[in-house]
Amino acid sequence: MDKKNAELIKEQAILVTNKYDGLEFCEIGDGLFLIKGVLAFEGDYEGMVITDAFDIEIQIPPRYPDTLPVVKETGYRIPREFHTNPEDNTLCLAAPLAAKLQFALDRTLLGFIEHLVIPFLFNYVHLQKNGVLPFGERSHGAKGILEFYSEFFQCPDLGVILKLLKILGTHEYLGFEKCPCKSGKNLRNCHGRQLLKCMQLQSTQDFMVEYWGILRLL
Amino acid sequence: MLTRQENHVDHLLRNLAEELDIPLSKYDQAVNRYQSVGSHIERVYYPSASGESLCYCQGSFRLGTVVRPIKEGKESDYDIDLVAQLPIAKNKTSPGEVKHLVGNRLKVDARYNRMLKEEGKRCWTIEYAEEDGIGFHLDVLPAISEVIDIQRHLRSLPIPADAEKYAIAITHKDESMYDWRSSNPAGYAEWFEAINRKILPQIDYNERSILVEKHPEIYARVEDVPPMMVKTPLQRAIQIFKRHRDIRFANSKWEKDKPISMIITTITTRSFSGKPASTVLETIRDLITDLRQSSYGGLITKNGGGWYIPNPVNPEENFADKWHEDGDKKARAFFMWLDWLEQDIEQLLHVHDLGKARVLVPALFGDRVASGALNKLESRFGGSVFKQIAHQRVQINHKPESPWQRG
Repeated sequence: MDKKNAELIKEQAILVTNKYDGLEFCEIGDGLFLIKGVLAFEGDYEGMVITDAFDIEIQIPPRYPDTLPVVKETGYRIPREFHTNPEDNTLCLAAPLAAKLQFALDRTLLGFIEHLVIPFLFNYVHLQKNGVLPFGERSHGAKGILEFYSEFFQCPDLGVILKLLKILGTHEYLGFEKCPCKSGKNLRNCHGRQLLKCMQLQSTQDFMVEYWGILRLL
Repeated sequence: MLTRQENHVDHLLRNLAEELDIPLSKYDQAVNRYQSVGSHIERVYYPSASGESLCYCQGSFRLGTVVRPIKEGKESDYDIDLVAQLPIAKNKTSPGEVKHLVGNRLKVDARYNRMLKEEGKRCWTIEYAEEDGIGFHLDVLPAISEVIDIQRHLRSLPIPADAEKYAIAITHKDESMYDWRSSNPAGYAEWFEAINRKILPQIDYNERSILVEKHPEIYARVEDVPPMMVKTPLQRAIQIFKRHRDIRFANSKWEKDKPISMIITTITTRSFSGKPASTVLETIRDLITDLRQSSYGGLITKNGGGWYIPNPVNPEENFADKWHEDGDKKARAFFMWLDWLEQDIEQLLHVHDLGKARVLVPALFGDRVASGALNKLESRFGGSVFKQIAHQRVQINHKPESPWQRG
């Protein structure tokens, strides 16, 4: 990791630890940074208030902020079956592109915590207390990714989604062509705008993996 | 859902129970010891026998609720209970004969003969000293199968289906007279296991994941963890109760009236059966809640001048049959223990400092066990364990993303 990146991470981390008393920032190896401790929040969503505190560990990857941090809940309060990756016990905050889109709006560690981590925890606590997930949940695997794209492209048609994903997976973007969603408009005036945003956030390989995953659902 | 503080206390209790439990290496050693004794007994023919002898383990080893005992204020050797069931009909033998058939068989082996203690009321005890200084007391309980009439009678009582099939007749020595007594340790174990299993679907995956995380040197994946390694909150709560009782009553004038393990195990299991909880803390609180109700949650009955806590596999056996003696002494000791338990758990829930915990917890559970448990807690949660942290207000302005999961 280069010095500039390390500096950026440290600057952003200070803003986190200044605001969240229970969290501390540490370097555990060459260029490997962690934020860990207690995340104590009082979350307010449309008048619904959830107050709680969780023991967490956020790992900041060397290629941050191009790669998102990952977070683990280290207090064993959240059972492993609830949206947790079995390989490394990190929390699955959202479908991959969804998380990247959210993070793109505020590419800071504070943003990551307040717009991705806290809502996840808020959602879980609300479920435990009131029996319902206010922010819903996606199905596992490719099905969940399909649900995300359906919502994102505002299009329930599997065939259209696959065509759009193919464009993302190959970067064969031809703005003057008609949009696959059959709106009659040109791609650049229709779903093209969303596609351009997505292409900046994820590699063609990542999109192709999602494409094949969804195809296999058929 | 537990709060963060409650979660820390729950983890502390789990860690304490792990420290109290027999370590895996000692467990293997114990199994080795009792299986050798078992084969030694099973290997020969006994007069008037028809069929095979059967030696099987009972008590806390069978139930998975082993706790390192405390004798004279110090941690002592583990107790293992082994039933030596000979295939002799009751009308072809006598209690004295059965007792001595087993005793003499043990004495035939020079090693066992050397380690054998003086004859007990019901058992023969073999004392094992081990290299690491932590030994075993193996209690061998001679027995035969109970007669059909008694089994039939048991079946007419409200007991679990088929429990009477495991009923045994054991021997009891008073001065130089031997008598038959009835018992059913295998039936009791089946009853316990049926209830204990209830919570497994809810906790199994999670517990195994935690074991994989804690012991990467032993387990690579969740599937590698053997089922017996998963301990339930019921088992953990019983372990906590037994040690808490031992410490509280040690060196007190009430010591010989302290609640017996059979009572603690039975009422905790019955309470759990009604409302299986997925955490140790909730299991403990549920028992306290039950016992604080006007009719003790149905777990204890007071009738006339006496107290009644039935053996679930033989309601004619009353574990509390001596509770009324000496002005209800044992009953009072039990409720005193309950008061202490409730106060001590409350204290733990109000500790907000690891330093204070390091003073409180050893006093309640013993030094070695407390320090092991707190060290594990600190390495898991860091110095912020038990600390109260101010909550930061965060406005969530637009509907956030939904969580997802890879596979």
